[in-house]
Amino acid sequence: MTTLVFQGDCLVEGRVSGTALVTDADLALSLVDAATGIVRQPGHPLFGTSVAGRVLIFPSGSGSSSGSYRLLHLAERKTAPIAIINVQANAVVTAGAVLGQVPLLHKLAPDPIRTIKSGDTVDVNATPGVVVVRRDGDA
Amino acid sequence: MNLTTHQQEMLDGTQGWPRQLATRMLVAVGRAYDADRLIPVHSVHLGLSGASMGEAGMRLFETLAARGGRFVVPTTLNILSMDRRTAGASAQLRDLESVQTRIADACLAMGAAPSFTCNPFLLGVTPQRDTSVAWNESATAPYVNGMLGARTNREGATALASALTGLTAHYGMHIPRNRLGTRLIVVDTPVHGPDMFNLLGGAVARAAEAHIPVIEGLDHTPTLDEMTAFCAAFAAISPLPMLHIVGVTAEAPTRADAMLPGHVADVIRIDATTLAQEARRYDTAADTTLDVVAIGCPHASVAQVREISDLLGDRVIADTVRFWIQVNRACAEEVEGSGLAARLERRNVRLLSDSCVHVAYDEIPAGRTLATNSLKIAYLTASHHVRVRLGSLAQCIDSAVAGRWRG
Repeated sequence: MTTLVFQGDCLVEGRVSGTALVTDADLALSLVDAATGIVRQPGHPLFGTSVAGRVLIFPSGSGSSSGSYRLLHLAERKTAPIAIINVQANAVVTAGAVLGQVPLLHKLAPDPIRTIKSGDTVDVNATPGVVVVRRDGDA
Repeated sequence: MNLTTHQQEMLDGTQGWPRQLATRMLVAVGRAYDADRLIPVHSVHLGLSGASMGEAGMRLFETLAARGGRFVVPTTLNILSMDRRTAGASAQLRDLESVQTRIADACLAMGAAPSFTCNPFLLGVTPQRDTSVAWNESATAPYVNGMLGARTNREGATALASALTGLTAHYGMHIPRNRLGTRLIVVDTPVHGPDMFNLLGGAVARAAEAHIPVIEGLDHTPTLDEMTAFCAAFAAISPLPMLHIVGVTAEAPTRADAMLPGHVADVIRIDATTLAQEARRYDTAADTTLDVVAIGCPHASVAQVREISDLLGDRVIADTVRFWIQVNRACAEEVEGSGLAARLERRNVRLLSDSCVHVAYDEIPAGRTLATNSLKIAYLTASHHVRVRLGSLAQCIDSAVAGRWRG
């Protein structure tokens, strides 16, 4: 068992554990299907993948400002990610995370995009800004 | 972030849940951008289209209104997903339209003005220079920041938070240094009329990349219709909220005023070839089929409606083509009162008030071909599996009369 510890800034509080879904491409929340949580952004590496129930890790938000309301919609439908980790959170993701009560952190060290892998088990304790990744075997 | 006692009370919830939720949004966004404080805003322009807000947005707005939420600064409203004049006419759309009506009613109950337009400048809503505002609708940001010299970031749900509190986070465009240009763009060809300014907006956005552009070389001060067309096209392609035109926009009396001091700028030239390339970029039509024409993005002025009537003359739009002019309600009523609307209706031209083809619930079916003189509509529509023709206003009208695209 390998354990990695990250420290970052908390923007929306909360404490959850779950499975990581990581992408190195900016994501438009407005192009995530509200009913299913499936990414419908053309050309995106996560196209066709559901973000529901995952600890979603991406560099920053992009696209329409209506993405904030989409995150609220996802949260109501239980198709939202259980936490979001950004390299640099933008206003759309941040306001949406407040509305949908989705824990949100950013500016983690070390770089979570390179270090955390999809499928890793992640403990998010947003309030002190601590993220712990547990992985079977060597890192 | 440093909060005043009053702001801390809002965050703690002692001034009610609506202001608490709003302040939470502003503080979180402020932290994300390392803002030092919240600052007052003078006005808000708020997005509320049912197509993008959905039922979750409707429940949020209705709950805010029911729990005492009130807009504490002058707040204008952006476009709707329907024309209020014809709402309820289609049984298929009635449930969706009810969502939009309830969102709009909640906004009006909280004190918003029923402007329902993406182009509030036509209504004379113009923020004062050097004041901070929170304006949603990306097309307005370069106009507010550049042309008027007021200050806004590109807002989303945060505009709602600003309406409820009268505050915004102090970051981005609210800080003077962040407003300065870092790329010089010289326009080497005459640019006249909204159609050409529309293409110029796209070309400048591409040339600017991530740098606030400082533009030189225009041979006249753009008209309101030229400038709003320019800003809408620019904002469709670029995420930047700001641009300068030397000798025209508020903070650019000279190049030196507009450029970041000490910054050595590359010069990028835009000529007639660049504009022609920009015009061709959006054509996705396979043949000359034409189903829908949309004029008025941003919402057309009365003068533009009159120009369409003049260009059309005695001709009639082909029965196979739906020809929309998108306008605000005040424009629709003025055009109706003067008899111009009746004349246009006889020629198969329809007014779409409060809305536009991009956000309307009454979607253009996939596979159809839309023609427009708006780069923004062309750009947004292409992602909806609708084929697109971008042309001049005259070209759109001539084609709609012929029932086929005439290149």
